Amino acid sequence: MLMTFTQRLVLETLQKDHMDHRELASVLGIDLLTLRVLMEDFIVKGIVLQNEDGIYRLNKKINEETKKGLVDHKSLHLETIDFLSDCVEDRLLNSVQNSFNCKKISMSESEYKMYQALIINLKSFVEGLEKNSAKDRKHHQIIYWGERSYENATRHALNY
Amino acid sequence: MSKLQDAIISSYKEKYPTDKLRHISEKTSIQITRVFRILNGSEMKISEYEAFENCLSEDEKHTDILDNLKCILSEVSHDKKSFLKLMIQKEILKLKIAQRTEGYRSHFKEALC
Repeated sequence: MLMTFTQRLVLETLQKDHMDHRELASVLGIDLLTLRVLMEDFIVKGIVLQNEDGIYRLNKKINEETKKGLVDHKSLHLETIDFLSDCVEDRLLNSVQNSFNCKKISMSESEYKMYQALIINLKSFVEGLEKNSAKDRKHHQIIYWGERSYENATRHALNY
Repeated sequence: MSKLQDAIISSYKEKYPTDKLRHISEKTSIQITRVFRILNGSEMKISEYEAFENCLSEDEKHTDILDNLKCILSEVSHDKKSFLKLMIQKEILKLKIAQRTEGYRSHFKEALC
């Protein structure tokens, strides 16, 4: 199922918590009308349910096909491209320094090991944060990291 | 200078206010000295009108990109093709969401007035 990055965030947020329209809009930082459009689609498709108090929750009984569609790799790929593209644009056009950082570097074996150790530390720190997810929903952040060798990057860059 | 020529040059200056003679020459493929004469009142030839017109409608023309897209879709692998199609579909989805939101916004504005 083709989704936008925002739609994905809506589902991921509802996976963790049940909330009403106003609170969901506040957590995600989107306006009430945009959220209304997104929720209408989810409700029509039976992915999200809304009770008489207006609380949204994910429908646990959706059919297998819809469930598969929600984790469609191609859609995930496109959503990530969209998100990363916005981050790069923020860095390049709006000079938001921490929105995207990328370095092309060469490391010795020992430096690479040191780098890996730092990444492992970062991962465990983030996993710890995930387990103790803060209740203050207004300060959620998206962080990302990764690496790629020159060889892989160049091999895939013009791969048609 | 004819009214049509005057209108075309005014539209051009409105659209590209910072363009110097060199830029106009590059965009229209008209020699720089000729551009200078045209801007100073020398009567334009049909081909020069067309060159200016093409520059002005550049943003609205989608034929080039559609031709390129057709060409690409017939050349690339099946996977890439389906990915490109999905990319376009996703942009359409985003646009539709924005349009529907805007529709609601206008509806509510009207209701409140």
